[in-house]
Amino acid sequence: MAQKTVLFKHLEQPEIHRLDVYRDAGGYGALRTAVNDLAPAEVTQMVKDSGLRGRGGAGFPTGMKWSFLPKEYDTSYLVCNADESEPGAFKDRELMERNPHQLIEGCLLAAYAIRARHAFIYVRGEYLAIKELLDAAIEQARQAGLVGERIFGKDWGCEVSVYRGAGAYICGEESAMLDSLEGFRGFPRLRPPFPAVRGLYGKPTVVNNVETLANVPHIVANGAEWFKSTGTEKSPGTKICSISGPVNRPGNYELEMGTPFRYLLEDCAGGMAGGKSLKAYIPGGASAPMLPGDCQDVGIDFESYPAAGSTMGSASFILFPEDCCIVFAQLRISEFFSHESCGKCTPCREGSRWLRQMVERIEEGGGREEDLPILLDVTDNMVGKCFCALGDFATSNIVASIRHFRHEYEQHIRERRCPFRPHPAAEPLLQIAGVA
Amino acid sequence: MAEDRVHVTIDGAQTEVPKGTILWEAAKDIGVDIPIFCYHSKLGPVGVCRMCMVQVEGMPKLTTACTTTVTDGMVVHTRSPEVEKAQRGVLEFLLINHPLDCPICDRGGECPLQDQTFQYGPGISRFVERKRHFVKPVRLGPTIDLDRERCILCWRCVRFTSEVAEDNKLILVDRGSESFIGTFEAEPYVSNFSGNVIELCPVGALTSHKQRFTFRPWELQQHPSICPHCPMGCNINIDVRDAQEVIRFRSRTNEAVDDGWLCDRGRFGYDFIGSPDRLKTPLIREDGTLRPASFSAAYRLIAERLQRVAAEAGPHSIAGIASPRLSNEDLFVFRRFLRDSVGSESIDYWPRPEYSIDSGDSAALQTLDSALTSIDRIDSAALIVLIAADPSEKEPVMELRIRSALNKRSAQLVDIGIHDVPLSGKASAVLRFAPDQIDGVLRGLFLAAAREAGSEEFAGARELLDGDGPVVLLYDDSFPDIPQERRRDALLSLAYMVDNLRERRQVGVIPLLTTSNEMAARDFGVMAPNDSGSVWGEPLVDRLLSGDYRAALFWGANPVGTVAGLTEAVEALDFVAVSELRLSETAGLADVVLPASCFAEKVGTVTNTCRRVQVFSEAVPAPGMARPDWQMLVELSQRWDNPLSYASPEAILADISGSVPGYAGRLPTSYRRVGPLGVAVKGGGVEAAE
Amino acid sequence: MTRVLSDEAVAAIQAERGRYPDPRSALLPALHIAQNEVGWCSADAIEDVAAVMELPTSDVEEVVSFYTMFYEDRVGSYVMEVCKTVPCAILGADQIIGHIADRLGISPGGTTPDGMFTLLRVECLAACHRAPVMQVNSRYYENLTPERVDQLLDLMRRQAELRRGQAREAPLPPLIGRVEAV
Repeated sequence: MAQKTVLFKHLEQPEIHRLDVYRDAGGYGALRTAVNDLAPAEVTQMVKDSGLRGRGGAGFPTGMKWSFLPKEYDTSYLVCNADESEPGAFKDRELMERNPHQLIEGCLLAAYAIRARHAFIYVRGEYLAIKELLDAAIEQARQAGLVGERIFGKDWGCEVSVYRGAGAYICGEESAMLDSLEGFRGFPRLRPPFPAVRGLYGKPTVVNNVETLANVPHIVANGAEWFKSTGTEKSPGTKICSISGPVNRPGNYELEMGTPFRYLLEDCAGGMAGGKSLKAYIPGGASAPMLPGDCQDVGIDFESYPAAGSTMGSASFILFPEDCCIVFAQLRISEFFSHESCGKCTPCREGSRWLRQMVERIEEGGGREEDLPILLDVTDNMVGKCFCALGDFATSNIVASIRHFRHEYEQHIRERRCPFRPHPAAEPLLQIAGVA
Repeated sequence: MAEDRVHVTIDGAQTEVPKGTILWEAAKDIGVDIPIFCYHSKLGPVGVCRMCMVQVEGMPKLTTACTTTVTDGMVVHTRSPEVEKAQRGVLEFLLINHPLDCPICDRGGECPLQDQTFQYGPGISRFVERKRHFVKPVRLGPTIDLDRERCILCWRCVRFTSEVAEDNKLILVDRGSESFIGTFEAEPYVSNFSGNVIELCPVGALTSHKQRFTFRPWELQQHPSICPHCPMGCNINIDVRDAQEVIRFRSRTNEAVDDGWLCDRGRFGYDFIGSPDRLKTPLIREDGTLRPASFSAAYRLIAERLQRVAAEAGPHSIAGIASPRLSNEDLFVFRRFLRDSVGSESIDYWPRPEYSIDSGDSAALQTLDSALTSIDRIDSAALIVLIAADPSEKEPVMELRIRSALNKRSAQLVDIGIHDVPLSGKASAVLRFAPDQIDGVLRGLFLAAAREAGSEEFAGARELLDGDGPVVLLYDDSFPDIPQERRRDALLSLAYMVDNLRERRQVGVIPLLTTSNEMAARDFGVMAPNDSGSVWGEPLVDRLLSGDYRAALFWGANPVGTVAGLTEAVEALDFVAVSELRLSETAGLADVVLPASCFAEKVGTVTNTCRRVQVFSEAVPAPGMARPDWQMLVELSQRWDNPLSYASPEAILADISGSVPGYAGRLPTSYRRVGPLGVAVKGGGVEAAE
Repeated sequence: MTRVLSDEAVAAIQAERGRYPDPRSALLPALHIAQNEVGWCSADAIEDVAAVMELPTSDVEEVVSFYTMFYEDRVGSYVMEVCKTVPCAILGADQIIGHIADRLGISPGGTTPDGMFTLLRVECLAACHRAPVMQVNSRYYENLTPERVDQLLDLMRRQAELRRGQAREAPLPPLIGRVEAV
């Protein structure tokens, strides 16, 4: 198992963002096939058969998600989750920047499968340039009769709109995204009813990640069996892996599912920079529990990482070198979740703030022996008790960092200071913030 | 088991509830207390405080009882170790940033957070970090102070303004743990209903500006009563300190009337009770000045002078004008005193609709009266129609009930009137007309010719009126915006409209009256009779102006303050006696003034706008020698040949129950049996619209 | 109330309202349009947006205050938003923030007295592979070094001088292209 190029065609054809180049390479062929020769249910069945699982992190089978819509409905919507706000994740950005038509075709195919006539691509607010690029691509596609009314001359048509968020991690949660798209604060919604039953504007709605949808044209074009021939049995296909931190070639790499992390680190990213060793890494963005640096033989797929005590999530790998203070890293993670808590429910709103405060105190040298059991108990009071998954996310690395690096916390507490100071990179800020 | 019912086992106890019941409510029904902060039965469930987590067998995680619908066979545990840990956890989260200022907090002693911490919370605090701080208190508006540090972000107040009052005034500002309750650009929170958020707040974050730091809840005794400020008859508790001082009014939920809400006029309108300018003794005019006197002197003088006038000019030259804010007992005795003791039929109430109708119009009155319905019928209406009516002004809580019906039960609203009212924005059809065109418009909606002519602006309203389902029609029969000479026509057209509509649909009407007990004043005949002897004759106040009378009794009524030219007319009378709370403009012209006790100082009943008779109780003593009006009238009547003999208000209630048409046979003869929530008499939802 | 939005902005918001099944959806786009024109979500701007959107001002305020990209306080012409989340933090984000703060003489959250620069610490911008990164007026600047920051500050100052006297009516023209990976 190794690198394989399916979604990252732009690596071979840098001009593929152009409609003509995309079409010359067979683009929109899958859409033509579907609209001309396949019933919507057949497209859903194909995706179901392929075993495609959601690439946003949860790994829910995509075809099954599509089939949860009620039997009868007048209006439905497709929403593409391009909020990409998980720290460590930057894959959707490249998929959209470099191959916008692949996503648009994926959106149209999914919309066709659920008989939606309006698809929305919700991009995070910071992606202004990407919104403009997608808008232009959609306009080109419209000119070519690929977006809008009567696509390929058939009765079915679909509008595609790009919607820009405004800075809120919680909007990546699918129901909060719908609230945001409707022009409200991005609060997660009560479930049931699920979006498949009552979603956007109260209508049946499917929300899929960018990478998930980008896979769909390939599945429709090449068939479910072709898709399943790549990756592992339960995690078929490829996965775009983002790797960041002190490595020689940070970036996105498309790998067959099941490829060991070691391959990503050594063969793709060129190993650790400056000859440092890997102390720890997070495999699936800041919400995924960190693992010790020697866990390098774990396969990148939906099953192997849970077995190793973490989760693949969006396959966003954040690497911590030997001289990185885990408590400091955890503080930045806790700051993130405290900042991004929407505030709707008590345990997440108050708990994420409290966790942040405690980690901050330990990092600043004010830790007490009893803090570690309190930290863990506070996470226990949050896990499974919050309104949405964000509350759980805020706890996962507290638990993991104490599990694997308890000695670093204890050293902070014992020495009443951060033993890694001056942090190689962090010192100037700490002076400014007056916390050093 | 009926198909629409399900079985659920909660902590080992089995119960059967209607399908769709919220688990929290099902538990409450069988006495299982699940702690809660964000949930409120009048607001939609949001499931955010996480206090009501319970264990449902078969579910992988704890679930919130306030958002879970009971399903058949569900087995629930509310006191398992897991649940108890979750409850301690949530309370700890709520408390870490909550100030420990219970000893100085207005809410301390009646605070759900305090109570639940005591019952379910952790004994100690593990929190040693810096607490969240906000500037405090913030004056949210004229009525409410906000302490943001005490706030636990349950958003009941925000949901109240967005879901119930629908003025969207209170909002959540910022995000996450920095969130706080506020208004746009800190604009003042001004609303007719702001006070409700004080009661909704489960902590001491929202407190009454007026009462802040003036009382402790455990000092207060509560007395069930009825708000005296409009004819809606919202149920209240009067909270009293030291059996002396009225501290506040709070809502006392009556689903058939107020749905648990109060308006600010009612909630904060209690200063008059303990006001220093209350009359404490009778006053008699001597040498042009009113001086304190004994009751016997005052009664003697009134009797002497009225009997002299009666001897000279006949008893009908004595006019009696009562206030429709008097109790049923007071009004009934006033009428009996005038008719049976004095012998006069010159009786009326004030303020009242300023027009009269004659005997030929009585069918119209009967139509409207027979269609009278109860307030809660609004909930089941398919269509609500406003006829030149503004519930928000006349009976404000009616506005909330209408909003609730429109939002929760998909009723529709037609607003037929002269100008926009707060509810107009909710109307599916709006029909505006010039002030003098009301009868044409109301008839035009039904006249075949006009229908065919198909005036465009009628189309929307007409389409809705032609639909199906029960209609509730609200009107204001004082027609304040209609020229006086057109008001009678307006009333007749309204009756015409109801008659026509009734041929096709169930129709209930609700009159929006002006003063709290106006319905009883009419029912008891405390209204000028017309040529046929039924009520709605020419207002007596108008006849006073034309010098038709020699003497007058003003019982709580103060027309001199508002009717031009009345001062001279009253000054020209031979004798004037007034019963009042304070020295009103009218009392200032009197020969004798009697000190009356107000509703909070006596026991009695009132009849609301839909003829629901409700009981109020004595909360505080009357000032000085002030007495209930019925009592003064009974005492006074002893000086006539036909005295009245009631020994207690309950004896009067029994007489009302036995003699007033519509009340007879429906109104119990004791206050206990009328009960805390009152009873509907004729109209009042008993047979109308059925 | 003074109207602060131009006719063009109002027309653009109206057009957005027509693009969605429920016009309320246009609220975020409307606020982007308003902020782009006014520079921040001032009370006047919120009132204008509320009027065009036919919403209570309180509804608009709730939304503005939720999203970090809508500025509730006046900001400088160049809003330098430096990522401080963990991937950037371990590769020197704090050093970059400290450097900018030193150069501008302001603390994070502050604006230079001339109103030209605002420095903000923000959460992950999704460019972790080119850490440290910042956005200035919605444009990414990546693989930052203190030297690169100095070049950028100079460029921004020069650009501002060229633009001096002009009202801020349109988004800033391209300042410089993306800083490619080093």
